[in-house]
Amino acid sequence: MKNLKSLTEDRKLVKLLTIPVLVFAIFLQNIGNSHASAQLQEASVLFDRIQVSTQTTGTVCAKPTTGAGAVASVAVAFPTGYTLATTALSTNWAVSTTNLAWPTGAIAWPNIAFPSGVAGQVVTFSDPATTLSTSSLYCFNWTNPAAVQITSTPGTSYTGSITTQTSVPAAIDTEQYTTDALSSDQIAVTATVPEAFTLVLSSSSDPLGNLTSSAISSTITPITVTINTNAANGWQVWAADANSGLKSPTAGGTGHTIASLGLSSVVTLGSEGYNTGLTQTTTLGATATIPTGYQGGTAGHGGGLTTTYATIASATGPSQAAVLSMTDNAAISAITPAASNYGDTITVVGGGLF
Amino acid sequence: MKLRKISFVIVSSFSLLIVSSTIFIALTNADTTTSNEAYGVQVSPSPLVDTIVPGVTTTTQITVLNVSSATENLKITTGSFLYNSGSGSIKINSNTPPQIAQYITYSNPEFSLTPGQSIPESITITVPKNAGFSYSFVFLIKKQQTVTATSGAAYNAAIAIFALINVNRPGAKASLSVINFSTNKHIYEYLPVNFKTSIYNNGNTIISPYGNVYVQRDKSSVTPISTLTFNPNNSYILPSTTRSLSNSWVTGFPVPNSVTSSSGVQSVKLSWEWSKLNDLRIGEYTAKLVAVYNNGYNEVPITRTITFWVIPWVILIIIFVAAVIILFNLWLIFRRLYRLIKRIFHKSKI
Repeated sequence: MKNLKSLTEDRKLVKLLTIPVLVFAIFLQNIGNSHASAQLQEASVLFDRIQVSTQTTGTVCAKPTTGAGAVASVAVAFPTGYTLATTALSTNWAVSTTNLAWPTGAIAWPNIAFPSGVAGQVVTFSDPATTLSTSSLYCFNWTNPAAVQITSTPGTSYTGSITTQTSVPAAIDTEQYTTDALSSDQIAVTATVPEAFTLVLSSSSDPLGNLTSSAISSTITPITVTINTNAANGWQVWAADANSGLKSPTAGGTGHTIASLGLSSVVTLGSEGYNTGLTQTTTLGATATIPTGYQGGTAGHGGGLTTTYATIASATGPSQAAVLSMTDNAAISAITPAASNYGDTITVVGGGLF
Repeated sequence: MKLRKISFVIVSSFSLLIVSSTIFIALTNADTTTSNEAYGVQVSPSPLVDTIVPGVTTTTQITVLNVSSATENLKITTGSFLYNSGSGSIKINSNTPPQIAQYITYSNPEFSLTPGQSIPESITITVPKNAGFSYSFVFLIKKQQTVTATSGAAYNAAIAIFALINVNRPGAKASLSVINFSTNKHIYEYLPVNFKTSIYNNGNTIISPYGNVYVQRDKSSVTPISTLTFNPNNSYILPSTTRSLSNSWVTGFPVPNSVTSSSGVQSVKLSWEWSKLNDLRIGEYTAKLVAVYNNGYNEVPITRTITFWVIPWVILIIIFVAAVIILFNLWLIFRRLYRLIKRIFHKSKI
């Protein structure tokens, strides 16, 4: 009876011990597994094209963490949704070690060869009896675009992995990589409509007439600059004048200039001053913008032009019939030297932007 | 009476004839009147983008069309320009020839065009083997003779064709870096969400990046909510300059429509298109920029990620207030029902 009791207690003890032993075994196995493969120091798959549904060549790069032991193969897992060639592996998955803008410091992956197999999304490239250094970043290219086709869904964060393997095969080092798929990754020129730019200047002459100290002289019929362009990045117009004002080479004996006023200036009665004010109308497309300093529309308002080209109008896209109306304003004081040859030469330059 | 009718018909017909004749003459005059433009020229392409090889003669072409009503006596020259990274503005300098000018020859340095006539101007560029890696400058189409004034102001005009020339030679480096990818606000009530991307060209060639801005729920989302085209205008970035490019996310509810006022000021007007109710945006979103450029061998993606919030607080307050009112009314109804039932029970006991 005593023996029977002892046997029952032993069984209880065995049962009690079984659970911790099992837990410990699983723990040990996990530790073993975690040490089975390390993370690669660096890993990347560079696709030469990343447009959706496009076949592409590319480059695989990795920097090992584990130095000892020979690598026998490299398993590259491509993201889900990427279509891989599974036949004629030597042709479709031909590899090269030509440096095609590889990351800085990368060297050719020794002994790398076309894959021994493609299983699901994993392509296992042969790399017979190769010892890789932990201080080098190794790269190789797959050279046939038929090998990989990018997924049909644009998106980011598509993930895959690179794993170096022994001959067993067992993982040595592994790491994930991330890539993107763009809806369009190249600019296709399919039309023959070039970007064109048209500039029309209405008149080359703005006679301001007799300037008197009792009135401000302004352009009677504004000079117009008309822009038509399909330049996608818009356009810009600059202006400069030859004299930074209305200049007479003979007035007062040695010459005199009615100097250009500053930006956002107002030509006032009885004081010497000269400026140019602009207004705009745009029929279609991007509206012309006139910088505050040159805005006209009110008597005597505008900005003074100088010998350096200044932006007098711009638009951020194509414009149809953007008309800039330029009005010159001038005033003199009672002591402004008399002469009949106060003149200025204004040059307007326009262009479609890049 | 009959005579009056006849005279009315004659007068009416005569008046109609006079009016018709006047309109006809006016229209005829409008058609035949020649305006007196001082300059009227069209050029294409504008801008001009090309890649040349050092030591090899490259010929490119621009077309110049006279759109004025008088003969244009024109010439083609080169000028330089300066791009300001901070303001994004361009300053041209027509007086300073660019370095590349010495390697350029024209098929017609000076030419005359009758109204409506065009000319293909061939531009030949031969840069030496030790040339630079890229050149950006302007071709100027201007009158052969500058108009000057003896009194008043004289106006001259010219067209600047921006020329962006890359030189395909060893040492050419295409490299871009995103220095800023941001939204103009962190919290939006409604769309549009405006993205600004500043890209610095730290290479020595002229580059036009392309790609997408993905708007997604979070950083790890594989399928984006919206895919925006990055740099749809193919803007170019010059070496050692920064360029800001913008994108807007507009697929929301209410629908943001861009409107331009009569004075040319652009603004956003919200349109309550109930068919787009599914596009109501609430919560935190992630925008991921994937810009790509070609370094001569492969496509180099440059990525940046930002997060922002869309909280349509007016709609949320309205929903909250409506919910409170409904719950309060329900509470009132249930309270009355409860009292009524209580009273009935009380009476039945009595």
